[in-house]
Amino acid sequence: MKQQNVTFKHLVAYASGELTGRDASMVEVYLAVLPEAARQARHLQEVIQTLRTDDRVTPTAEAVRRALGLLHVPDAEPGPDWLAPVRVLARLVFDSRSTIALAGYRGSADGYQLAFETDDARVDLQILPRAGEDLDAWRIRGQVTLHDDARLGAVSLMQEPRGTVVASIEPDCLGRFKIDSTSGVYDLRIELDEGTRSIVAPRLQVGPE
Amino acid sequence: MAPPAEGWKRADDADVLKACVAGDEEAWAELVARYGRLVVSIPRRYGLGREACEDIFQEVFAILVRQLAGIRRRTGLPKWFITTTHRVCRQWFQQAKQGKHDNHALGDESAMISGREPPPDLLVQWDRQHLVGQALRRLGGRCEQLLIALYTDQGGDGYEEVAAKLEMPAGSIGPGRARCLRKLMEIIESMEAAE
Repeated sequence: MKQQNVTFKHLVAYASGELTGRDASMVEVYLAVLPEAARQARHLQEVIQTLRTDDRVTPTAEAVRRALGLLHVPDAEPGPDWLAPVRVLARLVFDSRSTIALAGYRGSADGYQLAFETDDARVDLQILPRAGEDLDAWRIRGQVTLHDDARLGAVSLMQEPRGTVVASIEPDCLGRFKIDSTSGVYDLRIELDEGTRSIVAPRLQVGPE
Repeated sequence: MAPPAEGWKRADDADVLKACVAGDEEAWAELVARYGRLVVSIPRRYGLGREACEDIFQEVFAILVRQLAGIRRRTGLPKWFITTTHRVCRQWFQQAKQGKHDNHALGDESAMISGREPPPDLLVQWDRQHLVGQALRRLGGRCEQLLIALYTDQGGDGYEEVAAKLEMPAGSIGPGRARCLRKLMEIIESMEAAE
């Protein structure tokens, strides 16, 4: 092989480790003076190495069949017990309705603020009537502050007794969200870490008691 | 959303995901086929048994269904699958430490599985394996068969064996390999550019 005759086929043989001695040296000299060819050879080596060392397994036909059936399965479909998301009930630590209003409190006289805490997070809520709309229209403004590096997911308002999700929203990058609802008693669920954990602010009273 | 003329196999993740959100079952089947090996291989790599691997496989795709409408960033799915599968494995491991899984002793794998994120070297390895594997799927046909026969664990055969298996002249293996690798590299480069 002459240096000027190094072709892609030779690069493949080189990247596959099949060239030895003089042929390998010839390719190496060629690559040393042509950076683009060297990049191509490195990329080839990487891809061939990946193919050779791919130790992935294939799911069974039964596992695939079950997964294919998931697309239209209701949210409440139960799986093995150990896979149920870990749920933590948050504690109510502040309720402005039972506290003298602090200076700087904003919002209508009919609105109020709540705060819930767990070991990992704090949830601050402001519940306000929606101005200009019918009498039973409320807005929940919230912010989730995480104390660890968990990944924040969807915030959902759930109505008892079935836990029906009446609204669900993705918070912004600061953990803020807005949900509109009618009055009632709800659970507020905050998903963490791709749904493997959740925080629940239980029995959230929206609107007057 | 209408499927592409050639089916979902060559569509990018964003389009497949969008079709899944709309309830397209063929798009969903493509997503399961596209990511199935990645998902089931992670718990296997952590030393978990077949039943646990299949439970975790099921749960990861169930999580995806629940979050389909909410996944805003429709690129970066490989990383999402790797991270989510790792976290479900971690959940399994935490249950195993409480004795909730019979007859399973985790050895060295426990160090890998107990962190919040997968070990960085494995993350890179899985991401790379998935990318090359998907490029091979898109390549398809005789080229896919040839490269699998020559390079993977399922093959790794010499030219004579490959020629016999694929019913092609032994003398055409070398040029065929180069041609197929060139196409594979083009596909990989276009996939990397799209990320």
